[in-house]
Amino acid sequence: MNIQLNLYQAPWHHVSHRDALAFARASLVRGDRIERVFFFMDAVYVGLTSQSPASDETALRQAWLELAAESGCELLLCIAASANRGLLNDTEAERYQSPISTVAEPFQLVGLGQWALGYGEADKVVSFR
Amino acid sequence: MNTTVNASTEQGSDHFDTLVLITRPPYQGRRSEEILEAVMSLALFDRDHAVVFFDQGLGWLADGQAPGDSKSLNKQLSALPMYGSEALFYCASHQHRVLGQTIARDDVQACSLAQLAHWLRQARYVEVF
Repeated sequence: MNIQLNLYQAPWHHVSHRDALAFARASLVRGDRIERVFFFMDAVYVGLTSQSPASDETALRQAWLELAAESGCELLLCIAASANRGLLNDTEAERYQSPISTVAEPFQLVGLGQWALGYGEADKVVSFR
Repeated sequence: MNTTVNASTEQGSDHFDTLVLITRPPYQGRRSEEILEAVMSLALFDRDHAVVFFDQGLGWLADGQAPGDSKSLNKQLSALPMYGSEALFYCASHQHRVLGQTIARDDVQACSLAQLAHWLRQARYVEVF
C-alpha cells in the first residue's frame, strides 16, 4: 500500500509527530510504502535546522531524517507555510534576501499541490493533528 | 432559503472522493488562511471533493464578519467556487446551536447528518481541519 502522511502540528506542541513516526515504522514493517510526508501549518517547524532539543527529549527532526533514509520517503514542507514562519532553504533565502537559510535537504520546500496530489495518487492519506 | 440535502433524497452528489470537514472556528491565525489554501489546491488540481462546515466550523459562515486586522474569511469563502471548489455544505443540525442565525448564502447548502454519514462512508479520503 502506498501511503501519504500529513502532519499539521508543531513538533513540540503535540504527540502527533511521535505517533506519525510510530505509524510509519509499523507500516514499513507490514510492507507498505511511505511515499511522502507532507508537513503543513506549524508542522513545518520540524524542518528547522537550528532546533536543539534537550538531551532528554526526542530529536524529531533527526527521527524523520532516519525514517527518510530507511524508507526513501520524501520529506516535504509547504513552501508558503515555511516562508511565513521563517523556514527558508538556500534558494528561498536568496529570493527573500535573508542572510541565513534554515532548511536543508532532505527536507524540500514544495507547493500545496504536492499535498493535493496525494488525494488520488496515494492508496491512503493519513493525517496527524 | 437553503434546502437540506438528505441521504434519502436525490439531491446533491452521492459521492465525493475527498471530504474535507472544517470543525473549528474561523480566525485561528494563519491556520484559517491555510485551510482555505488547502481547499483551493484540491480544486486547482482537479481533486473531486466537498467541504462540510461542521460544529464550530459553522462560524466561518456567520454574517457580518468584520475582523480588525485581517480579511473576512466569509468573503474569501466566496472565492472558492471560482477556483472550482463548488460542493460546499454545512451541517444543518448545528446551524442554530452554533450560529443562532439563518445562513443566507446561496453558495453553501445545508446537509443532514444522515447525508454526511453517507458521504463519510463513501469517501476515499477524509480530511478534518
